[in-house]
Amino acid sequence: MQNNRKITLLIVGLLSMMIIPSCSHSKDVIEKLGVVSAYGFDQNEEQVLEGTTVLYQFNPDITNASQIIHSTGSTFNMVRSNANKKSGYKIVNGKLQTLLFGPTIAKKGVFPYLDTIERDAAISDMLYVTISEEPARDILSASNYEEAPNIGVYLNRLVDTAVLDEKIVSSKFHEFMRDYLQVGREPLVPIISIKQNKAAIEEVGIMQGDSHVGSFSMKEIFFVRLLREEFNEGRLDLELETKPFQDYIKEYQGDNREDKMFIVIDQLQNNSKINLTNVDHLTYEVDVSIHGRIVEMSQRMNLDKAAPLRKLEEEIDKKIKKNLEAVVKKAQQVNADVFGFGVKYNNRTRGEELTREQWQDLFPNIEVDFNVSTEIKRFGIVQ
Amino acid sequence: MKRRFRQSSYFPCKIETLQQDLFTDFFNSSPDLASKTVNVEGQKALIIYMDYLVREEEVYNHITSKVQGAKQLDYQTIESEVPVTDIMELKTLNEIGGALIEGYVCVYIEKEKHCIVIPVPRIDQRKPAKAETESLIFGPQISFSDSIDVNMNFIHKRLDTKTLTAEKFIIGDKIPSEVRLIYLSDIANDEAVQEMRSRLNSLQVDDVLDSSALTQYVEDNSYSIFPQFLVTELPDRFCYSLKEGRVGLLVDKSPTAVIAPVSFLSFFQTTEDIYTRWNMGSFIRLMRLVGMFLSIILTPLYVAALTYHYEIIPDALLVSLGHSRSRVPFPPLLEALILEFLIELIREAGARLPTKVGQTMGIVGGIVVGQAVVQAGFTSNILIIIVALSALASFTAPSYLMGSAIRILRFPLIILAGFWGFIGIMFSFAFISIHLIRQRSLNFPYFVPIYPFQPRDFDNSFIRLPFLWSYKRAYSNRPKKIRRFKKPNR
Repeated sequence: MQNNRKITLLIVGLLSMMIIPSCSHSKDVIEKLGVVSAYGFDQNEEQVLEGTTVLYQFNPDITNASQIIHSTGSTFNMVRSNANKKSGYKIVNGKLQTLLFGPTIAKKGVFPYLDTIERDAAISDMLYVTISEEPARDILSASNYEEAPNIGVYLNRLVDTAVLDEKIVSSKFHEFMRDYLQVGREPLVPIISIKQNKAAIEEVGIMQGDSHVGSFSMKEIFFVRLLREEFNEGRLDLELETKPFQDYIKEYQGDNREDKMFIVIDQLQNNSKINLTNVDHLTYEVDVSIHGRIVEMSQRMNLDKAAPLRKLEEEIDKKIKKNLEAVVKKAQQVNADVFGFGVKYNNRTRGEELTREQWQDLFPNIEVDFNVSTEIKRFGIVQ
Repeated sequence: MKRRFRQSSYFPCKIETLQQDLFTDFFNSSPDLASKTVNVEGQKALIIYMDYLVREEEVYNHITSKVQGAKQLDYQTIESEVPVTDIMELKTLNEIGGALIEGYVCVYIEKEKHCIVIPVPRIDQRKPAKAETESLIFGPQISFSDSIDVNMNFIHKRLDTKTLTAEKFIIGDKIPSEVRLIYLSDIANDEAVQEMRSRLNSLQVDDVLDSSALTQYVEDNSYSIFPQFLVTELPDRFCYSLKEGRVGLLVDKSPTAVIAPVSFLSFFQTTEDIYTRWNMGSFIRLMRLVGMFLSIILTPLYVAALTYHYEIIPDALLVSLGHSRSRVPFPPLLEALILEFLIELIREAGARLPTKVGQTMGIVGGIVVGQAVVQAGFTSNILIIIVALSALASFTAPSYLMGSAIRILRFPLIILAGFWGFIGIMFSFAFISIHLIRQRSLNFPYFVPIYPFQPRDFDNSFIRLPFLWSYKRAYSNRPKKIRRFKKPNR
């Protein structure tokens, strides 16, 4: 009995000695690695992929840890292995944070490259997918990237800050893939542009499937986000006509009021509900309720009284409604349903699965009705 | 050497013969055997003793003078004159010799059929001193002395109850030592008492060096790295454990006591947790457990992450880690082993040297060598932080034995992490968990209350709840009385 147990232990020990090492993967000792933080992809006239690899390298003498390698190839993996020919470090993708697609690829479709990345388990799904209207190579060559170790990390921080601030819609790799694979909802990706040798987000790209078809300005993207997602601490700048408020402004300014007034609403929270009211005629009714706090107002008004406050809320409703209609129209023009109207439609129609082509036929003709209700919760004390 | 065993026929004999026999045969011509022949009215008497084992002053004042001053020499007179109890009559040389070793004075009157022995033992013992290895900040500072009488006195003073039971065992065939099995008969579990009793009874050894050595004779699994019995030098901890329904052992000449059965978590508890308020006690207990975990895991994690899993290193750390690593000529495994070895070296040197030199060694070793090692590019500075932190954390274990076990346990983990990465770490953790679950202490499960899962004991294991919530003894010890006091109606 005792002997048997010893033999069993020995066998288990030996087996684990033999089997377990095969579970562990190849040695990647950190100082021998070139850790990639961003890839940029362009395509030249001969349809050859031009990759720009931004990587960390660890060298005791160089304080700058960043290196940029340009290489070409016909596939993503070929680009990588060609890049490795130009570096003494083993290029690994485990800490990839940003993917940047140049205009040529963004117009043609980015999916083939993302597909490769999805298959690689070492690459995190938390990386950001971005596009640019200038060649990716130029963007990644920008030399001003603040205190970040390299441009890849800087781009990641740039997008991350904007997403956390609720300025843009998040375009993490998994979110992009979800929107891409789901019929009736298209992805949005930030467009990186370069200003005075420094990368910045200026616009947000509308994707039809995986190809870039149009752009929203940063002002417009607020309203897109209003329909797509919820704000926790949003911020909205609005420009209103002063005419409806003339009675209330008169109290302070007399008759010499300006034509426009600016208000800033902060701590904005919203609740948007898309209802498909008529399946056959594709009419939607969208209820948007917003509440927030006024922090800035360029014209003086006494909001302590109910009447001016109600009036202000009404005007904000109108303005938001106008903007919402404009962004939906813009999306219809490029035929990319970034709001998810198609998902609602697909949920209501049973039996047949909606296909991308079907929805692209239907989407430009849908009618959307907005009910916006704004509530100003606080407006500060002015005495 | 062959000993003569002349049984009852030995007495009566001449006093010179007795003196000679004791001197040459029993004590191997020891120069310390003192004897005096007294002659009263033609009758001769011999007073004989080992001079360093008796209180000589009292021998002169109360025995020699009484014998010399006696009008008539017979045992009755002496016994009535000498103010000492426990005077025995002995008939064989062996018995007499044994008595002399224990500090008796032997008186023999010529032609009598036996001799008498009078106990006047001199016991030079260490004064009860402050606890050194398990010192408390808040609470009783005293530690056990090396005399079993003094230690029993400590315990009786603290546990002033008639249910305190002490059973006497003599362990050691060649050099016997007294061992006391101590428990509270109305609380301690009978099985535990019976198990300990039978283990002590069946123990056949020549001698017992110390209570910590006795522990290793009677513990459940000698192959395990983890101590299964708690060895403590604090009387208050010992008594607290008895009150919890555990069983204790005291060994004569040993300044430490043994407590069993204990669980793994007991090694991370002190009585200080009870003395301080419950929230501080809980915090410190949790901190010790976290410290132990960090101490085991940190260095292997470093080795595994740098060798195989660069993905998990945070961005902010990646650059600085990479830079300091790029100067190091060794792989992370070797780097970590060298540094761990260095720290163990400093610790051991500090412990062996006298206190004053030891402190200097610690500073020189820690600061100078540590700084130089980084500058010479031997190790990365982040590893220095990690190794120092885990060494520090391992010293928070209140039990020295457990702290050492944790420090040793790190080495196989580092090696496995270096060979197999995280899989190696997980493998060793699984191995350790299985080992701990299988372990027993005095046939009681060792890994309670985690396995067997005993949520009722959580009030006083990982954390310590206020007494309002923690009014029961640990279920896992199976005491006879669970309730310590009635739960207050509040």
